[in-house]
Amino acid sequence: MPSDTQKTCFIEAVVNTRHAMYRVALVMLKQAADAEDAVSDAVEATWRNLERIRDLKALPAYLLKSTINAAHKTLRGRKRESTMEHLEALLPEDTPETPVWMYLGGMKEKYSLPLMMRYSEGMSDQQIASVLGLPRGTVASRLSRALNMLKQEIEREEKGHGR
Amino acid sequence: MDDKKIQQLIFAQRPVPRQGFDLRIDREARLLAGEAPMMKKKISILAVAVAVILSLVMFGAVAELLGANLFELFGKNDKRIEQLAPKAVLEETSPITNTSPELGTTTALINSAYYDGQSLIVAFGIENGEYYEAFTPTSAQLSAMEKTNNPLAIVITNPQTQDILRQWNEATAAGKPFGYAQLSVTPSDHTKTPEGLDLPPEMSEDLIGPDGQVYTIIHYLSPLPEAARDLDALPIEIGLHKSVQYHYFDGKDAFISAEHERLEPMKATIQRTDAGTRRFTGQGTFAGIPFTAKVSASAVFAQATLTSDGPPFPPLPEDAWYSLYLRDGSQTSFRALGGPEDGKDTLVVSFHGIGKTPESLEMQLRVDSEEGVVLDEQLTQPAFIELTEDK
Repeated sequence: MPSDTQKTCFIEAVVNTRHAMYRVALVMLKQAADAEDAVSDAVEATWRNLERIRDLKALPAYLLKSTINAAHKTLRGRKRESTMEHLEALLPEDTPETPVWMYLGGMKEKYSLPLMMRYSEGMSDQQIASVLGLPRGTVASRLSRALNMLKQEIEREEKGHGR
Repeated sequence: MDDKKIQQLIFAQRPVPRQGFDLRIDREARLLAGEAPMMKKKISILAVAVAVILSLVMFGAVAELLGANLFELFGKNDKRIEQLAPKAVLEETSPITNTSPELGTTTALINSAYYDGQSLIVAFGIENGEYYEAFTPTSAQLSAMEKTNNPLAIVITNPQTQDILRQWNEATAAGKPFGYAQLSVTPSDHTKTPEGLDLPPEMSEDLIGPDGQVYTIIHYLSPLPEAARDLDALPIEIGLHKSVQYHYFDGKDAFISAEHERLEPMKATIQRTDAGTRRFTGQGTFAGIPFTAKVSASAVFAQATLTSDGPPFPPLPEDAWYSLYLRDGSQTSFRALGGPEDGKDTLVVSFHGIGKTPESLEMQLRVDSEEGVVLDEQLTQPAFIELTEDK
């Protein structure tokens, strides 16, 4: 049974990380309801393993990892891939002319996740590396690559719309 | 569209879950932890709050707002900021004070700042900027409030000043009516020059003191907008807002309303540090293409521009990209903030600084790729560039 300190840290980590978990799941699953369920599954999975987590400071990273695992499980169960229209429907009505999150949702996961973790959640390369289980250099490289890909995608879209 | 704009858009447009999500996840987490009964939650929240304050005490210096250099406080967690602290002492800054019956005297001050002509980091604090009291609206007040169906449990960061939030959390979870008013003095999201030039932030960090002081450090995007670069001194203003938020839960629904007032901004004039920016030049050859490399580097920021002296740098296959590695004479690596585009005449990469202006630099240009990508032989050979300081 987890100790009181573990319980307290667990709840604090969930409260502080739940929005980041939701966005990670949303970028992967592109449907809000599925993203919420993935967060819920991740919270439960983390709780089950709480006593095995030695460094409680690592709980936010563990929660994000569990979210990715839960989202992968959902993706494996889907018969067909979600379309971008699902993600577009989530954007607020006053979405500006450059809806970057829609473009993020269209990128490969290995690029979109580092990008959103860095610039939406403010995570360091080291923290991203820890969550994704990658060398720090690979994270830095993927970030560079992802930013360029996103920029090119935006430029291509904006040219296509005559903006 | 440049990298900075995209980075800002990612942050500004980030999706927010629907109302109800926080409550659902919060409840699930607490149920798992066996804390569904609220009497247990009270102890838990207090423990969280104590942990937050202890973490600040562990810094060894709970700064007295007007005395200590906040760069030293934030530097306990960030070596780069610690190294900049001696250069961040301000000569011209003055506290803003505001007096109200509820708060007494609130003090806000830009405490310390670093400016080298290209980059800016500012630390400020607000003391005695928050006050809570119980609030029960009249029927007229209630009808003017906006209804929200989601009374969220609020994380308590300071049990001494926020006991009323504990009462709110307990009441909303138990379905009992309760309300409170929160009076606060908070900083604007915008930092401006007196001419109205907006200085875009890159990231910020907050620390909360045991008596409710809020310390903030803001890193601004480098290089600064053209009109704010290379000045002998950079005057800045950060707006302050005084607001009262009214929250009321009638046992079923939550209601909210707010009043705002703009206060005098915090002001400071930041002298450009002598450390300044050094410029370096070097030559290299990659994939048979000769190029010239120019790097400008300060303690906070560096930018490398590689210009081909022949044809454009070759386009790359999907899942391959140009990487630029920069380090100083002591082998300390600079962290790249983005990557260059292929197929162009120039490759431009920005880096975070290393906390001191480098005296010497070396650089490597190479192509990195995902596993399984096959590259032409000439793209697999990295270029090493010796950089010499411009005199």
